[in-house]
Amino acid sequence: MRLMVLEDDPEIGQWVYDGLTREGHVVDWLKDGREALAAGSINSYDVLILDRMTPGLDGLSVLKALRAAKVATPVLFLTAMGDVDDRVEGLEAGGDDYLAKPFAFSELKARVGALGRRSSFASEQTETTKLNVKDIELDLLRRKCTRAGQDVDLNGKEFALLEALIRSNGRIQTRNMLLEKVWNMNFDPTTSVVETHISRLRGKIEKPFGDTVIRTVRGAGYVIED
Amino acid sequence: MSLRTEIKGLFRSSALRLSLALSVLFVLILLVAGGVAQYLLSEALEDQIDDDLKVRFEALAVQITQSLDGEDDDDEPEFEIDLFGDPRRSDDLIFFASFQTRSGATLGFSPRRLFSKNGYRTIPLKVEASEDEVSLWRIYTGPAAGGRLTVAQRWDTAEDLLELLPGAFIAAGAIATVLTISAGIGFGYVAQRRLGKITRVLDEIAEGNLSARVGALGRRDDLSDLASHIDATTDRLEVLLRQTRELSVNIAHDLKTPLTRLRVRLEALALENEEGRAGETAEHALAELDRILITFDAILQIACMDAGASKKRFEDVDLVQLANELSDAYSAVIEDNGFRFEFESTVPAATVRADPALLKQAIANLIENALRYSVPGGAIRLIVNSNSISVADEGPGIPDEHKLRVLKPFIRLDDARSNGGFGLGLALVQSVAQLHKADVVLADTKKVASVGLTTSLVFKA
Repeated sequence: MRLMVLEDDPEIGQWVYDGLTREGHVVDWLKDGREALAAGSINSYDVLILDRMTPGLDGLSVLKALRAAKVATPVLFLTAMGDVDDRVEGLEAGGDDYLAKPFAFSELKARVGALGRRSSFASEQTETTKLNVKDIELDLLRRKCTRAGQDVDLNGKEFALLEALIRSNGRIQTRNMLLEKVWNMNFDPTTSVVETHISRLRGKIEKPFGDTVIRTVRGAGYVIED
Repeated sequence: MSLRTEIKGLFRSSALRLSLALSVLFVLILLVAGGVAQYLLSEALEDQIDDDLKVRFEALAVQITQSLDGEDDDDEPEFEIDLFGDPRRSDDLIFFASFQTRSGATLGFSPRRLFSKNGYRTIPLKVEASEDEVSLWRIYTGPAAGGRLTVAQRWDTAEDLLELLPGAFIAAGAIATVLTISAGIGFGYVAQRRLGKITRVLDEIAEGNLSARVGALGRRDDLSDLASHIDATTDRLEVLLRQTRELSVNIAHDLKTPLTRLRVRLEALALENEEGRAGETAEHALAELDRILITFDAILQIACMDAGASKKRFEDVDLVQLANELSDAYSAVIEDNGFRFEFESTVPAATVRADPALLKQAIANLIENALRYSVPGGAIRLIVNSNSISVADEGPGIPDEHKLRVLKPFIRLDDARSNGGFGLGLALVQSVAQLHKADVVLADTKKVASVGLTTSLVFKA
């Protein structure tokens, strides 16, 4: 993917640049808000990663200017302004995701991956009613799950969890992403909410069939691969 | 403001109360003054009449003596009747006199008791034979020209004058009272208007809107002085609060950038030494750092809420629905940790004005506290009433004397509730409650054996 990073701190910028490049992305790293606005308007990126407190023009203004100019590229805020108010402000201005500093690189990687996928599939907005991975089928209308032709009885949150994992299509979903998506929780619970539900889901979708569908990526999250 | 509350407010107005008190005082003063005036006036009138009587008596005595001179002692004295006057002949007569000769004969109008004794007296007399009307007369009887002379003056006229006085006082009192109370209502109304403005602004400030100002209140008096003092205080508060907010944002930024760099370096170290001991150490350091960051965020969040965070994200939140969402997230966790989970709701829905994200986080904190401090095997219950949401555990509970203390940041009790935790969980709940003007109530789950802790967020109805 082609990414743009707006980050004025050299050390953090270098880390993000190196990490994303290592993942195989093409990264433009800019340190000034005005340059980022110019680059964002001219070049077509898959995802923009914006800091909020940057010289020249702050990240929020960059986003507003881009959205005003009808640039619909997904935007991820990566900022020390991690307050709930700041977060809401960023998302209301047209941001697609918000990650507060300090952050784990695995979290950034997973969120950039999820946004990039959204931009490449944005054109085909077909309303799917069935999701398939391996021999698992999710009927989104009837909220029913079958594996190898057998009904699997899932409760609402287990279904939502499985749906989120299947929809991410081979990309890692972090704990925090799942908490936001499935439980609408923007804080980090000290207890193992995600782990517990993954374990229950596994008890229904894996245990009776004797194999592994949901892979745990240590220190990162969970993924279902085809 | 409805008319009713306005009237209610008016009666609580100090101006009106003052004028009512003054009216009562004024009426009392008037009563005393009227009584005294009445007494003094009646004394003065009596003295004046008595003086008149004495003068008349002496004048008449001289006349009678002159008339009697040169006449034989035994002869019946002859006087012109006009000398004495007769009230029976003329209604408007206010004086008459009567003379009793040495031999006992009387001249002039002389009903019975007229000569019973000497000196001043006030007696009722029937002056008109045909009617029962009796009039009061002031009389003086004394020796004159060898006989006894009585002069009388009508007392009723003085009485009429005295009767005017209470009427005058009552009328003056009534008019003054009405005027004072009307003025009181008027002043009270104006003062209430101005006080109302001050109260509304103070309410707004309490809500967190520090840009509210009372402004000019018209006349320059104590109320407008008070208003300008309030405005000056609010100015100062606003500056302080803005400084505090800027400070916390600056702290957040200035600390978060180096913390981010630290995390980046540790993560890089862990990545470069994935299999070695250094990598393992870096992983541990990362885990520690993340714990520090969680505490750091909680402190910032509490500071922000205590500094009067905005309420723009407030909306109608159904506590039952919120509890359901929390049950979805936590029931499995609670059960897998060896507790029973129960959800009780006494109402189908309970709507409060709240910030849903903060409220959810607060209740999640309570559930996690219950999980941390309870003994496995017991029940953890989530309870919703019409205006409250509670988490009840069956752990060791908190002694009554410590219940208030645990709501403060960084307070942890040494005994049963000491393992793990950062001492901020309940403080955050308390800050969320204050933002919602709700109360945090700590109680024993079971009153009899004092088992467990029930923590409730109680909203104002």
